[in-house]
Amino acid sequence: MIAPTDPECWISEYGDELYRYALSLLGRESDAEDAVQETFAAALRSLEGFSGRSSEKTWLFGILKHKIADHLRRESRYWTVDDSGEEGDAFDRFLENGRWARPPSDWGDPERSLENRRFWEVFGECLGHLPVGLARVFSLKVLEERPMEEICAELGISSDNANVRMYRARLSLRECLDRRWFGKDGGRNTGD
Amino acid sequence: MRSMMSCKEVSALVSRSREERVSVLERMKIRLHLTFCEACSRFERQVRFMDRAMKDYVRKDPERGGEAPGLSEEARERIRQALRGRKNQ
Repeated sequence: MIAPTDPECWISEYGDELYRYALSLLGRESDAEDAVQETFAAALRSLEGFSGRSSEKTWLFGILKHKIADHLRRESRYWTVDDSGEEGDAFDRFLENGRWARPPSDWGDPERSLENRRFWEVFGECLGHLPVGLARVFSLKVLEERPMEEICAELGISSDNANVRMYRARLSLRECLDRRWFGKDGGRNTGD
Repeated sequence: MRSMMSCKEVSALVSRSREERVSVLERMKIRLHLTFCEACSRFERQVRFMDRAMKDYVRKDPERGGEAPGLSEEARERIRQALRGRKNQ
């Protein structure tokens, strides 16, 4: 058996899971690899701090989340206005009179999809298609579970700007899920 | 005074209301609009669903595993080296 807290084993035991998680939120392979490496390095430094209260995996994931949040905050400095989406794209979604150009379709009972592995793949892919500055605000908000104002202050963006980003992220994600999942039979027939 | 908002305004407001408190008047306008507009009602439900899914996505990810590619052999080796370096410091 492997010793429970042996840094040499971390890579083989948890490397892939940590990496996939980081990749889903950071979007770039090299960034995800760096985050995993930094996580192990930080864990190694605070090995004594790990008391076994939580599982080793939970502990490592906790460190990784901090690393990811740090990364997103650093990266936010380089978001351009374009990352919040073209001004025009929100307009394309609505007619001149303000009504939906393509009204949202009926998703039935979407909660059923949460049990479906394939749904999560599609969800991850749809997230991946969001412009960087949209997806990151969304991730950070969910990751940190803090008031939006605090996150905005740290990112150096106004709350209006954050609202626009969240709105566009939701519009885009919704369209992608509509197209790739719920619009087809796949969403309703979640038997598999 | 215009009491009915357009779908475009309502959808933006529905989204904003997930992040911050909107005024009582704005909440009433949303309610009123949703009563008559199936498209925006769907949007509102879908927004709530997506927020929840996003939470699950972040939280459950550790248990999901799956077919997504893991660390490459090069990355693995690089991290191993880095860890060794630190350990021996």
